[in-house]
Amino acid sequence: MRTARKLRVAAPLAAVALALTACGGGGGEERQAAALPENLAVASTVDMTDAEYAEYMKGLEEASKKEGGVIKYYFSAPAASAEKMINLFIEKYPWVKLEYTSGGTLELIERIITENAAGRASADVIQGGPLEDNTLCRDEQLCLKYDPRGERDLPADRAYAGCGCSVGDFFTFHILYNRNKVPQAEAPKTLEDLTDPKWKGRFGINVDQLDWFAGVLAQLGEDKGLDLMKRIAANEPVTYTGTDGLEKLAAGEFDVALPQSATRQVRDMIDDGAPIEIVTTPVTIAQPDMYFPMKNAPHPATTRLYMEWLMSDDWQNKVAEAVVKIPIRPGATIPESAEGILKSELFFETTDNFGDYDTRVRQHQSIFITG
Amino acid sequence: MAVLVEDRAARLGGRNTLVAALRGAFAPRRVVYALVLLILVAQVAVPAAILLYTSLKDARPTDADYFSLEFTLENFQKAFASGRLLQVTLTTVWFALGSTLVALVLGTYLAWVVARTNAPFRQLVGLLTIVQMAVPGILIPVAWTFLASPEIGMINVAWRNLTGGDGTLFNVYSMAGLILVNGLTMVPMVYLFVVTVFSSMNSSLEEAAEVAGARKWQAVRDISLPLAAPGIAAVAIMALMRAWESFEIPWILGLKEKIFTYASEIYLRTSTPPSDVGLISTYAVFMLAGAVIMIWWYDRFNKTGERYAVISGKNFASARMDLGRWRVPVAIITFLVLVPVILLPLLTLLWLSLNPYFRQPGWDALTSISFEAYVAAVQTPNMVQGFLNSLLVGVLAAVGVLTLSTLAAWFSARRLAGGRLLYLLTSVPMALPNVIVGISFLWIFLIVPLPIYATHWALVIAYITLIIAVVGRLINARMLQISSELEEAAQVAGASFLRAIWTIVVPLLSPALLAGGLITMVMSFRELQTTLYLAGPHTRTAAVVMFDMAGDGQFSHMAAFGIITFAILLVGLVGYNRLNARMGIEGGI
Repeated sequence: MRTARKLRVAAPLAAVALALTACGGGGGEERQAAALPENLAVASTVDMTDAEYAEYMKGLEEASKKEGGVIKYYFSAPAASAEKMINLFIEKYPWVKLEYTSGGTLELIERIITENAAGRASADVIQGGPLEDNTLCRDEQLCLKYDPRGERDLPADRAYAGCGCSVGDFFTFHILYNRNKVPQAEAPKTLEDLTDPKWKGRFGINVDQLDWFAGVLAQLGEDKGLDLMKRIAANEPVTYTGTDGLEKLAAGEFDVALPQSATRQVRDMIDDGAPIEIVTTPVTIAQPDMYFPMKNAPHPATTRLYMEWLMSDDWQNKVAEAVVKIPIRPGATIPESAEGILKSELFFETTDNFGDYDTRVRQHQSIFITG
Repeated sequence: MAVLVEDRAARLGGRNTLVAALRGAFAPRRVVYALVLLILVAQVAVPAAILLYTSLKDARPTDADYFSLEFTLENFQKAFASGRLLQVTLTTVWFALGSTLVALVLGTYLAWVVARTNAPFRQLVGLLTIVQMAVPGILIPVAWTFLASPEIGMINVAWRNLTGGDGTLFNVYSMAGLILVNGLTMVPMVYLFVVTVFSSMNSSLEEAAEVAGARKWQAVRDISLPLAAPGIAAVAIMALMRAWESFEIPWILGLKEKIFTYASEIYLRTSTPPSDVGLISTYAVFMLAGAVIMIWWYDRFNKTGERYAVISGKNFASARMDLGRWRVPVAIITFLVLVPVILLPLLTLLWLSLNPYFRQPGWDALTSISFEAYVAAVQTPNMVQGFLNSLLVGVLAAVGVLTLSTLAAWFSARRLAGGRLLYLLTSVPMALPNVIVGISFLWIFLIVPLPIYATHWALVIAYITLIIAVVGRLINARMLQISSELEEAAQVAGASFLRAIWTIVVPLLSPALLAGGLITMVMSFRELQTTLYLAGPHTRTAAVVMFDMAGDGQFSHMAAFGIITFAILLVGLVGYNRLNARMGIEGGI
């Protein structure tokens, strides 16, 4: 009973103390987009001379310091991968502080739309893909049209001219197999191989990868692509979501898994001894990593600084090592493991060739999920 | 207001005494009721109203025409359009009923062993039962995948090695598998509910039955279980609703054999951003209707609540049933129950965390285990921040949930005017999908000109809405067992209404309050979906950090993080158990 009495006294006091602490915690400091001086609020630095660009960058750095040097970054991937990249940005611009908001794609898009509709925009940059481009940029008009200098010499198929974004790097989709269960000579080499009855029930399909599905349809043509997908589905693949497919493949739950991107996670598992091999098909679907500066960014100077850095030699030559992805700029250092990938024909999935999003979702679900 | 005051003054013997009338109108009890009602309306009625309203709109809350007077049934047509809704609903009914039955049987059995018998090691049993709550939710289906997958599950591999055959002992991807795994995850909640009910039962009633010639099992069947009926009924409703809206287990384990429940169907149909809040709301309307029916049934069940009051002004003892020669068999059966509830999943996660990828246990794997995953987990960005945020939000949410639940339960159990409204408001959230709560509060916090968005308070407010239904039922069930004569006696002796509640009712509610606080803390650590809409860069919780890890990588890292989370929460659970023991509540160590 004495303990109960102590609790009755201590509990409210503790609650008050904690409440006072919580009052001071958290974010909640959204503000209206700061106005940049006219000479910095440009839409492109592609055509600037060297001298103009140097002056522009100096002005941006000063403006970034004045606005507090914060970059509010929204990304649906884990903090670890984004922070690795942004820490390199902070190394170059030490006054910058990162505020990272993670979440699923759905939640982040919902937040950005609602924040902007309420006049309390919070995000400076969002990293994503064609889905974000379609929803945030094209439908909601929330993206800043800004072309950093580093985009000036990109080949046409990598420039993404119609996007309210910059594409800093890309990754590719592959077929993976367990070498303890499938000899190399028998491993599937193309998607068509997986329609062979010998693979019935022996391979897994990652149902999270709508981008891959849209990319295959864009590459082959709608009818041919749908036909191939239906024939693959007729072979009764095991459906799985996200990253658990890699573990199941390594464990032997199924012999083959697709589509999987050959990024750091897969490489790390292989380095740890997982019996996984990567197949590069003759045509490889590539997905661009898109970086969207927001029109109502609370920190517009730091945002532009980041976009310039993203497309600069400084970052482009570090992409491979930092995040094991392929830099968008031809000639920049690529991961050793990607050399074979670049020998195949790359087909880039884009917002333009993605197709109608609702239609693709319905097609993908009816073929692979609901049956 | 003036009319009410004058009316009251007139009824006070006809003299128009304004001060006396105001004093009556603002009596502490009425003020408290009004405050509780106001808070619950804001917490619960607003998201529920948004849900109902949005189901009839073809616009999102932030659209300009959201408040127009144009309504549509298009969302309902879309919900029925695919033709799958009926099939999915039937699947969900079986899934929910089956899981609830598994959880009720096992949880009630464990609660009975711990609270009502002299079985050996019962304190350890109590701890092991609730310790499962400390395992992050997403890791349970992961663990069971590697336990009972037909191809690679350790149980099935061992079975094949033992029998020399190629059969499968248990398929976790089947409907039976989904039911079992989901049921096992709900055992701790059922246990917590029922053990507080069993702990406060007067054993003299069972002793009287035995004196009259009844056997021990007859006394349990005819005395203990009926007296515990309101509590068990309450937890059955909660378990049923939680099973109904369960997502992780049906999605992760049901996908392979295309077993879709209500929650996974909603996910499939609404995975196009921005979220189709109209369609999500429509699906939730059906859940709300189901919840209202269950609340109505439970309310009728408790109409004569006083007869279940076992805590009264008379002294009572809670002696344990002597199992005699059944002590050892009961101990063995209890251990066998705990194996699937906690021991197998925990050991599987431990094994996962010590290997770079899943390997069958064997000498080679054993000799190459490492702690690299723990090093990586500890180096996870924002790990400490995540835990501290979850702790802070959990404690604040617990204070809010327990205060509101206690007051609402008191008004409801004493059948005072307006009590049923409070009861309804604390029950309705059980039908609100976390997505709707997240989106509703996202919108509210951004529209309202207060600096709440992305702060800890945003999470506290949302968590109270999410958790109050569960804890409210627990506290309500306990409140029904407390006779009103105790606080009436205090008020006759001169104590005020609030003092009577604080000094009489709250101590007697202690087991339920402690259990409710525990549930709130654990759910705060595990809650993800709503948090993803509301957490900011500085308020990321442990669940968000875990979500990051799930996207990044290897299960070994996730498992290691889960074991670390488990160890931290275990400290809290041991503390809870010790507190229970000091207060004389069964289940303590």
